[in-house]
Amino acid sequence: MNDLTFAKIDQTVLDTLQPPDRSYWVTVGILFIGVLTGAACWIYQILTGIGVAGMNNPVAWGTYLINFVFWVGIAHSGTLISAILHLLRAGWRNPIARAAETMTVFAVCIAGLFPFIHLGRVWLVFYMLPVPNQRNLWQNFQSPLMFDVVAISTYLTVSSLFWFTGMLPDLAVIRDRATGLRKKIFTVISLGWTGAHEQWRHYARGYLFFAALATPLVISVHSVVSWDFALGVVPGWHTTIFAPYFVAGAIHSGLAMVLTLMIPLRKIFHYEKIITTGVLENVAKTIIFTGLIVGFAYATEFFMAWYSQNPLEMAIFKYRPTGDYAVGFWIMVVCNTIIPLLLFFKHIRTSILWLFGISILINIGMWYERFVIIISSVSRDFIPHAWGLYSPTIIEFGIMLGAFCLFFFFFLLFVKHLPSVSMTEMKEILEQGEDHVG
Amino acid sequence: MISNHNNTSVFQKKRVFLICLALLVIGFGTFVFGLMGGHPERAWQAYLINFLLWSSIAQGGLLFSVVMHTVKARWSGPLSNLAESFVAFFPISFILFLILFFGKNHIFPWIHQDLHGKEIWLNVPFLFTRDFVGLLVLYGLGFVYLYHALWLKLDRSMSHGRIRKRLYSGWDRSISDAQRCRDRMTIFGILYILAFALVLSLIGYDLVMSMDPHWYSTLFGAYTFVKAFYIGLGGLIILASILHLNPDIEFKLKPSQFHDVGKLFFAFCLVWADFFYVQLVVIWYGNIPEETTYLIERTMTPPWNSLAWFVFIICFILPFVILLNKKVKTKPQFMSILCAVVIMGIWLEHLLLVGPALNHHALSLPLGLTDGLIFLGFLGLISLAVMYFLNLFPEFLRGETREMK
Repeated sequence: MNDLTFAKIDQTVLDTLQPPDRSYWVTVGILFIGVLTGAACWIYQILTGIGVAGMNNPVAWGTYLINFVFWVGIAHSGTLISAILHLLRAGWRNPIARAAETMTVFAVCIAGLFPFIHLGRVWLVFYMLPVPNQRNLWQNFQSPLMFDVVAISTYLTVSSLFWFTGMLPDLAVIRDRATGLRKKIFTVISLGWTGAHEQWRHYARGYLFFAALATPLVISVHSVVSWDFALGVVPGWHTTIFAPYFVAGAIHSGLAMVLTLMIPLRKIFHYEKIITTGVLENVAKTIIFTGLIVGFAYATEFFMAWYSQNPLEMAIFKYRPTGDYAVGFWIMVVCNTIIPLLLFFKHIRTSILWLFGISILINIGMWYERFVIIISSVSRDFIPHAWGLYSPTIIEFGIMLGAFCLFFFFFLLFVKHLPSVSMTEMKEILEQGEDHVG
Repeated sequence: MISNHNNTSVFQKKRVFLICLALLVIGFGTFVFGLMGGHPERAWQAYLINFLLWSSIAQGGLLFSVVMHTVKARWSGPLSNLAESFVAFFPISFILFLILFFGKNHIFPWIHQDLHGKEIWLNVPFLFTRDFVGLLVLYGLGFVYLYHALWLKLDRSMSHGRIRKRLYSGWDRSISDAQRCRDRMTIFGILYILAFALVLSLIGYDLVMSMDPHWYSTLFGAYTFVKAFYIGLGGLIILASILHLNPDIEFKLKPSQFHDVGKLFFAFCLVWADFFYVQLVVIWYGNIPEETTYLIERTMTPPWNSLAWFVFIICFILPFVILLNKKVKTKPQFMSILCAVVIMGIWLEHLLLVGPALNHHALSLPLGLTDGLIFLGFLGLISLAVMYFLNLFPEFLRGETREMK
């Protein structure tokens, strides 16, 4: 960090926007094929009917809802890094804040797609909007699913605005050095930024207010998502710890995704001096913390099921580690709570390879967490007569592949066309030192 | 620096000491009087609530220092020192817990109930054993952390006193350099954080939630320890303000430090309210009779419903609205009053949680002068403990200690 200068920061970041080579476009193309595969599966589902997916009675929520919760979760750490750590004046978050915030925006978009995919007749989605109509329909605002519509759309709006506001000074830097069409585009999107004192003052205040408002928002969003389950009376779903536990789990998975994205990014774009090992180490330490919260929540649920001596609660918590989805359950426990403990060892959390491996395992574990929660509880409902199992079909896997490809497709386009590290915030660290930012 | 010693420890002034002692005697006298009187259960109820409240403040207070050390915060040095002084209440809290055993028939309504299989967990010997071990571990870790923190902060040229001499000889054997000392503080600090979460959850389940043995909420443990940190910060702000405002004491904080700790207090005010609401909404919406009876009794049935609103207003709405303002957070006089109000609110919140289970069919709130006097007794006790600590280690009252230089 010591030999960085303002010019070097600009240069390193602007270098990433140079015209890419062929391998970049090949990767983008492959991802686009993945996206098309997902789209084709969805179109097939629309034409044939929702029955092509594996959902059934009693398991009416399958991978579409799992992926929805998973992607909303991924989104959360972006706001943790850009807003909460900004309020806590943790300067180490500056080099990764932009990429994390971008991840948030794309992940919310992907998450927002899944309820649409889950709908059998997607063209009727406007029933969710409270528009005056002649059908005498009115939305059930007492339904957590309606809470979701409000929460997710607010979150998408705020995080996009926060992301764009933070990028303004950087867009102006690019505008000033660009030529031709690019200059025209960046002139428009940098909204006439000149770097005048007054603009900086408004920018700093605006950024702070966004951070302060985004913090309770991000907590409320995943709380609302958790209430899709917790407000019902299904054993294993109806539990008061769900909201904080989902928030912590979301940040846990999101931080893992940050590592998964940052490690290749810093390698490819030579960001080693900006995104230092120290930054990755701090992300790893935060992962230990969220992993412990998640572990605490798992243990509490089991303890409370036993303490309650409620036969239904006890049955579901016996079913999870030993029943039909036991493999998923153990993947979840090991990947989310035990493997992150390895990060307590310094040589592991400073090793890029270990970090990358662990981050991927946590992503898998967190996907399985949603699988275990969503599937196991409804598949063993109150009445044994109505029990049933679920497994995803090839169409669902196709759509899931499409979603992952779409996410990385967006991210790849982003890193080559917009500054993936905030030059402004890097200069702040350089100017004021890490502990005086904010 | 040593010559400052006599000036800095104004706590040696007899007046403050005597006032605290008087409070302690009054509180103790009221408690004993209550036991002898017709309603020993009322005295035990007040004792339990105060034990929970003041222990939480001490445990949450130390947590501040531990968290600041673990996250390598650089703004909080003098505040961390003060936070460590709450450790002096740990041994007292431990003894207070043991005394609770004598009130078991009054504070555990489930002792004579049919628990339908819960007897394995809810029985007196097991309960006291596990809580005894839990508190022992928590307080032990707190002391080990403090032992290392003192190494960094004490001025070894001051050699009077038995305790200091013992510390010095212990250090000579066990601690070699500052880096190793800090590393160990990190390890024991993390263990303390873990123990804080687990042991306070346990205490919350055993001493508060089990009052209604058939009701349960998975968030209750987390709610308990978040609340403890919330009032721990409140206690810390009060202590810092009192010392800061005393012109005879060298201890001073910058407005930015008051602002920062005020923001932290504000944040945990929100977290507390969030956990309060999150439990409420899930139970309300689920509408299962086993769960809702607990809420209906506390939030909809007189006399408790008005108390519930009062608690929510003074522990959340009032501080939330006030602390939105930046300037207020930098005013120690104002902040100490606000924190005191919140701490009293949490006292009432404990009453709200345990009261209905201990006072069936109460027509009015079981709240009287005796409760207030016992509260003051505990206040005197924790003040004496903190004063004793700060007298023993006057370095903690300096603006800066060795570590920060």
